[in-house]
Formats: sequence, C-alpha cells, structure tokens
Amino acid sequence: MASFSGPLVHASRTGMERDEDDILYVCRSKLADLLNIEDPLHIIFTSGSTEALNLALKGLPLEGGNVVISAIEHNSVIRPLKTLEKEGKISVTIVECDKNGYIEPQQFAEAIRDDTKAIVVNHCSNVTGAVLDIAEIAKIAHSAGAYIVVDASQSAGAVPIDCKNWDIDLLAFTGHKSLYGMQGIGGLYIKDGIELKPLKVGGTGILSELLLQPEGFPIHYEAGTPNTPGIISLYAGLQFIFETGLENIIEHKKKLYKILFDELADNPDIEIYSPKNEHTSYSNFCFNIKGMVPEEVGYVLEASFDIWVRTGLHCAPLILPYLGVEPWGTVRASHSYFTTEEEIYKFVEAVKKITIIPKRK
Amino acid sequence: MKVVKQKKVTDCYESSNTIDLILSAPITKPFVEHLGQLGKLLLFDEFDIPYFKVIVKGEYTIKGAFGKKTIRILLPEDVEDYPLDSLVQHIENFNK
Repeated sequence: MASFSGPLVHASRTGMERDEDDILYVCRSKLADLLNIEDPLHIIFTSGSTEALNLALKGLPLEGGNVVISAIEHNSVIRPLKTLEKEGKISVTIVECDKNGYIEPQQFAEAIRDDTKAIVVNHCSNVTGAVLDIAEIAKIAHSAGAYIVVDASQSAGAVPIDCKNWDIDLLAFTGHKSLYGMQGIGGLYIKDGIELKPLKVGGTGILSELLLQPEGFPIHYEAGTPNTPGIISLYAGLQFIFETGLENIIEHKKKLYKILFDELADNPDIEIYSPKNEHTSYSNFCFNIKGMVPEEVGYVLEASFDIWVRTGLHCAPLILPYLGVEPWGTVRASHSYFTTEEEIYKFVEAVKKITIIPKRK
Repeated sequence: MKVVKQKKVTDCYESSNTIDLILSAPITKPFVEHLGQLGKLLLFDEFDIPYFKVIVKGEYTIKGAFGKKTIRILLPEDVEDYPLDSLVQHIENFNK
C-alpha cells in the first residue's frame, strides 16, 4: 500500500488534488473500478449504508409518489421509507420473495403503479444471501419512469456490480463487509444527472466564501470532516480485492458453500433457507435446527464450540413470513475469503452435534 | 461462588426476559451439579466445551457452559423484575 502524506481534508488546498497522494480520490478511483462507475467523483463517502440510503431516499423527489421495495430489505431502507410514509409523503409497496429470499424481476414490474417514483431494492439479502437481477429490475424501473436505488451493502466486494451497464441511478454500499474496510465508512454512487437534496450542509474546507453549500461532486454532499482513517482502510480492502481477484474470492466462498450444503442439506434436523442455486452471494448460510430457537443455537455454538454466528431477525423483519421463521428468525453463518475448509468442517460437526439438544428431554 | 453482576440481555429472542449472571469463578462440573438441584439438569458433555441447561419447571431455565463465568437465565416473559434472590442465594451457597 502506498504511504500517504498528511491528514489533508482537501488535497486541492495544496495542489495535490487527484494525484496519488490524495487518498480520497485514489479510494474513489478504486471503488469506481470495482463498481464500473465512469466518474469517481460521483461516489460520495458516508458513514455507511444507512447514511447513504438516508441521503438517497430523503434526497430524491419522491413526495406524493409510490416507492416499490422488496421483502428482503434491511431496516436501513425500510425505516427511512416507512417514516416518509408515516409523514404522509409517500406510499410503499412491498414485493414478496420466495422461501430463499429470491425475487423474479417480473414481480417488480407487476408491483409498479402509475405513481411509482422509485424501486428501492436490496441487491443481496443479508439474511439468506439471495442475489437479485439488478440489471433487469433497473430496466423495469426506467421503463416506468422511476429511479432505481440499489442497496449493495452485502454485495459490494462479494459479487460483480456494474453501475454503468446496469444503468443504476443510486447505489449505497458499506465498507466494513465484503470490502474489508473498517466500520464507519461507506458511500453512495449518484449517476450523472441525478440531483439529491443534501442530507447535511456545512464545512467543506474550501470555497469558504460561499454562504450556501458549494455545488458539484462530491462536495455538495460531503459536508464535514471526512473519515480519512476509514477511507484508508477501505482503500486497503479494495487493494486486497484487486490483488486477490474478485473471481478467486467468489470461487473460494463457493467451495465452502458447497461443503455446507453437501454436509447439511440432507440432515432431517436442519432447515436451510439460503438458495442452493446460482442466485446467491455464497457468503451466507442461513438455517435453523428443528426444535430449537436460533438464539440457543448461536449461544451453544459460541459457548461450546467458539464459533460466532448471528441469530434472530438480522434487521430484516419483512422476510420472516416468507421463510416461515416467525417470530424467532434464523441462524446466519457468514464465511469470507479468510475462512478455511477446516473451519467449515468444524462448524458442520458442531451443528450436527447441537441437533441432539431438542431430542434430549 | 459469588454473583458479581446481573445484566439484562437485550435482543435475545429466546425470551425477551433474559438475565446474564456474571460469576466470580469459572463454571465447573460440581457447580453445574449444584445448580441441577434446582430442577432438571440436561448436560451435553459430548460438546467441545460441555453445555448444560437446568429447567426449573414453571419458573426459569438456566444455561451455560463449563469454564465460562456467565450463566444465562431465561425468565417468564410476562413477569417484570422477576425475583432472583433465591437463585442467587443458591449459587452463593456453593463452596461457601
């Protein structure tokens, strides 16, 4: 990794803008390469996906219209939109998913109304790992004159994303998942020609004579001191992805995912909710043990086997009835490029052992 | 054994009324057997680290694992401020 000089808030102050010492620009450029974005300056840094989605959803002119979302959305989409709905500004339509969290693009076409102003959709379910066909859903949105807003929190760095060719209007991502950065850094891609109302205005470090927020990308949307440590960490994560190769990362996770299905799919004590087909990020293994609430499975995995998983609703409450897991939710085991086959087999054996708990009365 | 701290567990869907008791010493088999006097003991000693549950019918369920210093108490959903005095007393009677 290159060494960067000084904690410059804006490199243009020193004439260093856009050269290799401007970490903000270098990081934006790497992100643009990964997500196929033409102009890196159209990537806005935020604290994560929640802030990026708030900027998108509160910044778009949605008032008086309908917004189509899906049952696999995270609360980072649901809550801003439900708040706007409660305030009487929009209506929200929810598209159903199947028992693995997958949704056919045509279902979005069927949900569109005359007053639909946007489709806001999760690229990849944080519960099951199901991956949707964003290119097709974007076509459906645009043919209805609606925006396409994509939540790529789970997919950025996990599966290929092509903002340019998929014609995405707005794409939110976080740095701390498959982009291997720290918590507290994320961003929003804004397509050329789309204007949002900024979420915050204030200090920019440059153009201080202006009493209103300066125009232009990215500064119009980036008031305040940037999270430079977070951006450096994100850059290091992106470097890792490019050096390793996204295809190699996917291939490794696919191999681990196959072991999980080979070992556990036929076990009568285990219910699996992640897709077995190609509509997956290969990153999440979502399951339950029959007769046990997910919280206890997570507790025993941690206490007795030193394996940490997430249990419960995963901040995605709308998906529960479609998976048939109300009210307790599921267990979600996430693996990465750094997870080994040995660790996966250890997890498999632990899960098999735990299935004895509900049988011992 | 002493109960050092009682901690309410949030976002626990097994029971919305869950308390962790932090203990002064690691959990041992004799301590688990002592807890087992309160109800029905289920011991899973085939796990890497043995896991146990003590079901006190109509009252609460205790669970934990050997070597840890925390036990989890699943209390009835509908009882706020469930009195844990007798349980704490029982714990503190161990190796007194």
